[in-house]
Amino acid sequence: MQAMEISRTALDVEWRRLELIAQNLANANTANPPNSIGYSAQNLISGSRTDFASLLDGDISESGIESLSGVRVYGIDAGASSARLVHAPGDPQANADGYVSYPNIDMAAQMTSMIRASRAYEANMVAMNAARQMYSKALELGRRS
Amino acid sequence: MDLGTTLLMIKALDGLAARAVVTAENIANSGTPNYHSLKLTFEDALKDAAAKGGDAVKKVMPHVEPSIVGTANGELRLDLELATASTTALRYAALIEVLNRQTQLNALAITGNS
Repeated sequence: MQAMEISRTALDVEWRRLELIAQNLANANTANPPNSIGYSAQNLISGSRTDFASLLDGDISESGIESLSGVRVYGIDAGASSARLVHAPGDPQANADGYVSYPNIDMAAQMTSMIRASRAYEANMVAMNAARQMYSKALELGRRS
Repeated sequence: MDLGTTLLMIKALDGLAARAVVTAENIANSGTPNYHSLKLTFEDALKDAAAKGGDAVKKVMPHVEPSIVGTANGELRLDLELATASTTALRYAALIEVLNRQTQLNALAITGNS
């Protein structure tokens, strides 16, 4: 069931990536309170669970393949907090000069990452189905028809 | 069908199962920066071993190496990986089918046509 476990870890990681992107987009118009560090776009840092170098020293045996265990989330990169200033003196969130600061979120970049994440999610789903097909076929070994 | 052929098929099943794992790992790492996809080979080693005999076949191990296939900027070709995944599943299913037919023939030979 190892192949399915690996795809499962990736489904989890891509799901979390999508959640962060949704969070970023949802907060695009959240005004930062005056004189404070507000929201900044967050990036998910993910990577392989296995140390890649260990796979490369020559002929890897069955145990080498068994050490493959998918991906995991390594952390969330809060990114540089840059603000987009909008002149709105009447706004209760405005600072002394009459500017309201909003998080500077790159919509195009977020949408691109969203598409990539959902494609990756779909691909892992397909891979998981292929593995499922193999395992269920293996169960038919020795069955009388 | 002799025992050697059965052994070959079982080794091929092992190899294909390992390839499914490696492909799953590649697809899972499609979002990992600087990931180098892995490629698993066993067919050629199995073919060479088959010419030498049963003991050589038993010793055949799948070989994993970094793959050179990828896009210009080092990204994974998801489409090719998915193609590998479904080919592997189909070949696995075909081998199981052949093994099943063989066991049915053996069962028939043992029981007679009753």
